[in-house]
Amino acid sequence: MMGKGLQSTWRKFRKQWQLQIIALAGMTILFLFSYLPLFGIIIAFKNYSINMGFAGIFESEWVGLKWFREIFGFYRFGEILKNTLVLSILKLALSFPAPILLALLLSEMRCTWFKRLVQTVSYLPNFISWVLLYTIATAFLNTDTGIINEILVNLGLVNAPVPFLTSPDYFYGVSVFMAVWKNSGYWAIIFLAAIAGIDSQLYEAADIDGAGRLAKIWHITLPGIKASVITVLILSIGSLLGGGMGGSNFEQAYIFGNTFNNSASEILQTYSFKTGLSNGRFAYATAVDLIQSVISILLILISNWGAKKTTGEGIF
Amino acid sequence: MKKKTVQKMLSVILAAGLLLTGCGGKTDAGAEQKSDPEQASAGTEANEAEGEETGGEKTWSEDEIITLKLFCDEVWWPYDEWSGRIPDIVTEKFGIKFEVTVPSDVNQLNMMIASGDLGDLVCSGKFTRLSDSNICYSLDELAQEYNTDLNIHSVMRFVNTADDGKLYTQMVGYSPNSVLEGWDKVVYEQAGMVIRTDIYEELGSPALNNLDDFTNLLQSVKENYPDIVPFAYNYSFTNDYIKILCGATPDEEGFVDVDGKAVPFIMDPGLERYYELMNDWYRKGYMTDENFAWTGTEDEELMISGKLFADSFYSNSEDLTNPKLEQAGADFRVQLVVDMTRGQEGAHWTQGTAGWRGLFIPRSCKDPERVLEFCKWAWSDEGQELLLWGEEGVDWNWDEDHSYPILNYDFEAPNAEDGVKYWGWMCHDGKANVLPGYGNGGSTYDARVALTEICDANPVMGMLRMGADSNEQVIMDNLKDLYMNESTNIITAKSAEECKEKYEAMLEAARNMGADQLTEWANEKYGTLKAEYDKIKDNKE
Repeated sequence: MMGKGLQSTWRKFRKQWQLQIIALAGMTILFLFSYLPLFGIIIAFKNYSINMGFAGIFESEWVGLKWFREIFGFYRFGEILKNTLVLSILKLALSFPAPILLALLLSEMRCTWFKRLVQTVSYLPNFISWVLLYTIATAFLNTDTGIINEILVNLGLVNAPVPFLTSPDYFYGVSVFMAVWKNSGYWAIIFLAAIAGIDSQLYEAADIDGAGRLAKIWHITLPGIKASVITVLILSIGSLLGGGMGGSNFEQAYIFGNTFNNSASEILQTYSFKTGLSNGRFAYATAVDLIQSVISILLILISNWGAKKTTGEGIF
Repeated sequence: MKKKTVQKMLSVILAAGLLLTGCGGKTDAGAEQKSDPEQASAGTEANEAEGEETGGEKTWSEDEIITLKLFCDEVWWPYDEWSGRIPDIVTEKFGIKFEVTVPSDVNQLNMMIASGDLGDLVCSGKFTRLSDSNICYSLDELAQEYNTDLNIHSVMRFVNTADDGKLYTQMVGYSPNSVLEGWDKVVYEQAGMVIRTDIYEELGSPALNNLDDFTNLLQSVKENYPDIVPFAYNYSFTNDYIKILCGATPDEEGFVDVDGKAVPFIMDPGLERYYELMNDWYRKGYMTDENFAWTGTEDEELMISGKLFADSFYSNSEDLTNPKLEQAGADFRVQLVVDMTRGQEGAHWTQGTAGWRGLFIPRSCKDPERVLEFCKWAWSDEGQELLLWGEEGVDWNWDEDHSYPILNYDFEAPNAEDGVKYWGWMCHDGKANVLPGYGNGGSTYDARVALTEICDANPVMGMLRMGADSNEQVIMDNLKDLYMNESTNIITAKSAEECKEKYEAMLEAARNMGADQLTEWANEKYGTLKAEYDKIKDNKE
C-alpha cells in the first residue's frame, strides 16, 4: 500500500507524463554518455592493452596500483604536476576577478552605446578557438615578425626580440594573459545578469543617503552578486586543473607548447594525451587522469566547505 | 481529446528525437564495427563468380565492384581519394575501390584499434601494434585459407616476421641483397639540405666540402644578409642531414650499432658532436628559437618568403621546392648541397630499417580474399611499377639495358589527377622508389648517390622490435620523450660547457630510465637475429 506522499507524487508524475518522458530521454543520454563510461576507470587498475579491444576492459588482469606507482616514479612527474598546479592557480587568480571587475565597470557606464560596444568586443574573443588564437599570438609575439617584438626592439626597450612563444620563462604569463583576454567578456555576462537582478530601490535609497559610486558598489552591488560569485568560484575550483574560467588548460598547453618551452608547458592532461593516445597506453593514461579527477573532487569539497564557513553559501 | 493525442505524439517524438540525437553517431559506428554479413557475402559471391574472364584477365561488372575502407596511417598522405587513371586500372583488375581515410592526427589508428574497427586494409608503420593475430590476419593464414601462393623472398619473410612467428605484412623500402644486386642504379633515400643559389653565388660560391666550410658560409650569410635566417631544419626530418655529417644516428627511436653492440639511439656517441655543432650555430645566431617550436612546414614557408638561406630537409628538396618558388613568383631558386657528405670526415649513417610501413589486412576486413590478392599483386614488380611509376609505354619505358625506368613526367612532382606514384608508397621495395630518380634529371639522385656512399645497411637493427605494450617499449617511449625535450635544451644551452653538461645529464637520465636494461634486452636478440640473418642474407629467393 502506497503512502500518501508517494501517491501524490505518482499522481503528479502521471499528470505530467509527457514532460517526464522528455526529461527521461535527457536523463538516459546523461546516463549513457556520462555515467556508464565511468566504469572504464577500472582499466587504471588493469593491464589493459588496446589490442584487446572492448572485451579487454573486463578480461585483462588486475595489476593494482602498478600504473600509479609508475606515474609517481616518472622522472618528470614533479615538474608536470607543478606546471599543472601553477598554470591552473594563476589562471584562477586572474581569470576569476577579471570578469567581475569588467562587469562592475560595464554596469557603471552611463553611455549605453559605448557600453554595448565594449560588451560585444570583450565577448567576441570567446568564440575564437585556441588554434586561431595561437596564429594571432604568433603574429604579435613571434621573434622574427611579431609586431610586439618589432615595437620593443625599435623603441630600444630590448636588445633582442623576446621569445614569448618559445621560452619556458614566458609560458605561464602568455597563457594567463591569453586566457583572461579570451574569457573575461564571456563570464562578465553572468555577473552582469546578476547585477541586473539587484533591486534598483536599493541604489535609490543609497543615493538619498548620499552614497557615492564606490560605496554603492561595495555595499550593494558586490553583496548582491555574492551568490553568483560563490557559485562560479566553486565551479571554477572544481574544474581548476582543467582550466576553470580561463578555458581549457589542455588546448592551451597542447597548442602553445613546444619542445623549447616543454619544461613549463607539459601538464597532466597533455602528458596523459601523449602517453595514452599516441603510445596507446590507455590504462596508464586513465590512471594519470584519475589522479587529476581525485584532486579536482577534493578541491570542490574543500572550496564548498570553505565558502559555507566564510559566507554561509555553498552549492551543496 | 485531439489536443491530448497531439501532445502524446509530440512527447514521444521529442523523446525519441532526443535519444536519437544522442545515440545517432554511436549507433552508426556500432553497426559499422562488425563486418556486414550481407556485404561480406556479396563480396564472397562476387569472388565465387570471379567476374568475367577475358583473355585470362578478369573483368568486373559495376555491381561486382566493392568499395573497401583503406586507412593510410600517415597525416601527410598526399592522396585522400581513390581516383584517377592508375586507381581505375586497379579497380578494373580487382573489382575493388577504396574509400580512403587519412588521419587528422597521429593518434587515430590507436583509437581505431581500441574500437575494433580498422576497416578493410591498413597502411601503417606501426608494425608491432598491428602484428597481432587478434587484430590482423597473418598472410600465411589467408594464403592457406584461399589456397594461394604468396611467393615471398626468404629474406623478406625473415625480416618481416613478427615476434609470434607470423608474417602480417611486407614493410616498404627494403629489399634483400640478392634483389638489389641486379640493380646498380639503386641508392638509398635519405635527408638532404638546400641553400639559396643567388646568395651562394653572390658570396662567391665557396667550396662546401665539410662542416667547417658550411659554418663559414653561414657566418657570411649572417654578416651580409642580416634579415635572412642562415639555417633552419624541417620538423619532420629533424635535421637528419647534419646528424649524418656528424656521424650521429638520424633515427629518433630504435637501436644503433655501437662497436657491434645494439644500444638505444639516444646513447649513440655521435650525438655529442652533433649537439656541439648545433649549439655553436645557435649561439652564433644562425638559427631562430622558433625553429624548435615548428610542427609542420614552416621552414619551407620561410624559404618561399625569401627569409631563409639553408634548409635541412630531404634529398628531394631541390626538386620539391623550386616548383613552389616558381609558383610563388620568387626570383631565386635553391640547390641541393651534394658533396659535403663526401668531404666531411666521420660522416656516416646506417640504413637500419627493415622497412617503414606496410599493408595490413585487419580482422574487420569484409573481403580478405580479394584484399589479399590485391596486396600480393601490389607487392609484385608489376604492381609496384603500375602504382608507383604509372603505365608502361604511357608514363614510362625501360632504358636500353632495362636498368631504370625513363619517366615522361617529373617523379618528384607527379600529376595527382592520374593518381600515380603515391599509392605505390604503400607497397614498394628498396629499388622501385629510387630508380626513377636516375633518369629524372634532377639533383635528388646525385644527393642520394653521395649519401649511399657513406651508408651501411643493417636490417637486423630494424628487427629489434619491442612488443607494443611491453616494458621495453615503455622505456623506449620514455627515452624518445627525453630526447625530444632535452635535445632542444642542449642545443639552446648558453655556453659550450653548459651544452656538454646538459648532454651528459640527458645520458644519465636515460640510464636511470632503463637505457642499460634496454641495451641488455636488445643484445640478447641482436646476436641471434644477426647470426640467422647472416646465414640467409644472400639467398636468391
